[in-house]
Amino acid sequence: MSTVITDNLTGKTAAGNVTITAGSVTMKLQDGVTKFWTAYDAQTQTTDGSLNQSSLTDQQTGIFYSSFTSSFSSATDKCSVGTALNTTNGTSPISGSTRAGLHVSVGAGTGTFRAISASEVQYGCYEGAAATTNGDVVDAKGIYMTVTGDLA
Amino acid sequence: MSEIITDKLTGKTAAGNVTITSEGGAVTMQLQQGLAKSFINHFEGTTVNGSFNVTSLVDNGTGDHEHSFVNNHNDIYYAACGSIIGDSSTQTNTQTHSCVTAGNAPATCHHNTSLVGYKTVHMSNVANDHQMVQIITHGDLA
Repeated sequence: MSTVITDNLTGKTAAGNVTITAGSVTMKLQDGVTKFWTAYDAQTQTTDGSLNQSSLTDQQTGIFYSSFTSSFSSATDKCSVGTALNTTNGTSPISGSTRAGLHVSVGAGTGTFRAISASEVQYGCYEGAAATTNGDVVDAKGIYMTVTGDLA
Repeated sequence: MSEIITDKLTGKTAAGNVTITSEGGAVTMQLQQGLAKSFINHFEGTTVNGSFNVTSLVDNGTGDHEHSFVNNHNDIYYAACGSIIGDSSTQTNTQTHSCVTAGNAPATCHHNTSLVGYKTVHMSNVANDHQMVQIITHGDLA
């Protein structure tokens, strides 16, 4: 096995374009790299870990937005997906989640909806309606969001 | 700081296997396995806002889409994850929100190496079109 030891990879023809072989085809290395992620504890209002996040704003119960340190090249040419840790106390699941699901969606289902932007992502955490209780926004113990796409 | 300036990385022993060391320095991993292999961001209908390794977005009906890959996955056991931005009267009701699920309508339910289907469904059990649907896949390419 050969080993290259380096601290930095830069495209020769274009600095932001390094091609890598994946299976029997090639792809642009930068395309596949996640450019932002955060792990937020909405109960303690603490960011447990993050990449490329300059700040996280807790707007209200279950609704958040993260600002990027380095912005994306486009407000819409990116892919934001998230999920949540199914607990508010670290020991038991959220009651409404068993029937209709706990999930994270981009944007806000209630409160102030922030414009889609290259410099931030807004997301909300929801529990579904159960037999005897309505669904609602919820502060889960872990809110996880990732964004993939081109940086500016 | 050292720097390699190149346009292409290829594994020497196996072309598709380049190893990198973890941030903590304790372990190594295959660089290719950590890369997303496709994403798409589209509106309802077939208006694509951005994508890579994606072609042929098809609107199968309300809340029911599928798209093909330019370069296929090597098996069907790749991970497809998604999210949506709501833009409908029902979506603004937090009591019954919407979500995206892999696999589209039962009659088509596509999830194979060249094609992935998905539904956006309101929790009142009604398929629902949304303003921005985002799907990302991770796994090995063929």
